[in-house]
Amino acid sequence: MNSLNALNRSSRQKKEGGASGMGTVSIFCILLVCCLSAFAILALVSASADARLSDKNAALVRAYYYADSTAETLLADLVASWSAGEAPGEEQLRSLLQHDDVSAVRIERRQEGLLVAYAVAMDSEGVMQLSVEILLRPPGESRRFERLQWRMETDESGDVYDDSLLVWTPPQG
Amino acid sequence: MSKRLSGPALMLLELTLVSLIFCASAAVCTMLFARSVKISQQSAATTGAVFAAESAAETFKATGDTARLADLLGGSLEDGVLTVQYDENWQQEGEPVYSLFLVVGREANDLERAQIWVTDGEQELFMLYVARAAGGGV
Repeated sequence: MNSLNALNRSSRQKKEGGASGMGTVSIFCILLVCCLSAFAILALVSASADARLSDKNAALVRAYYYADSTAETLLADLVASWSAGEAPGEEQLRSLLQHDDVSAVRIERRQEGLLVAYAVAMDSEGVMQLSVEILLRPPGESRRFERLQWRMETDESGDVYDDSLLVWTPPQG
Repeated sequence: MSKRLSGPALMLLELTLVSLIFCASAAVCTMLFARSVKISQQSAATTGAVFAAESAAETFKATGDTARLADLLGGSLEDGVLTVQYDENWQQEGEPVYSLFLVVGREANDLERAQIWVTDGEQELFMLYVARAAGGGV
């Protein structure tokens, strides 16, 4: 008798679309919505991270070329002073390198000319800098100076960020 | 008074609610996807512009001569302004989408300065100032 009642209840539930069918669609939908949301958020986070990286790269390139322009301007002043008439003294050359962003000035007399080294800060913290070494050739030579070193490095540790290979030598002149 | 809903009616109600929730979340997710695609395209354009400007800057530093620069960069020189066109993949083969402009000025002490900027036709993507002391070597 009991088993007959249970059978009747089960068939009634089936006819009415009973509780066994209810909620399956909801659970499936919740899973789908969760997956969609997760992928959408991941895509947005990834795109934002890419954008931040891109902006950082742009800022670094801008900072490098700002320091590079400063170093080139100082170099042009040095070369002009070195090439004009009498060779200037060390103090005079040092005064040309007086700049807020410039540090580690070093001047050495060498057989082949005058070595001038200086570093131009690339950021306000002074962690990154453009380290420059120039050999000023004696006045009268067609090639007035030679770049011995022109690279980006850290302030104290000496780690070099830009250790790229020289793949092309520009034409002289 | 209150009438209990039958099974099919409950199922229909559930399906309607689920459809509404799904539609709402799909709309939000589509918006998020569209936004991430836009951000991604913008950052790709910025990265491409930075590389193009760097390439132009290094070529300028190596040569300095605008005619030679135009040859090396594959651009055209008009009224002292060098223009290089790039397609959507930053190649010079397809339909121009991005433009790089370069202007060189000469100052005292053999110093040459270049202003480089890259646009996508609507807005400026990147700008760079480069200087070069002439008369030396690497």
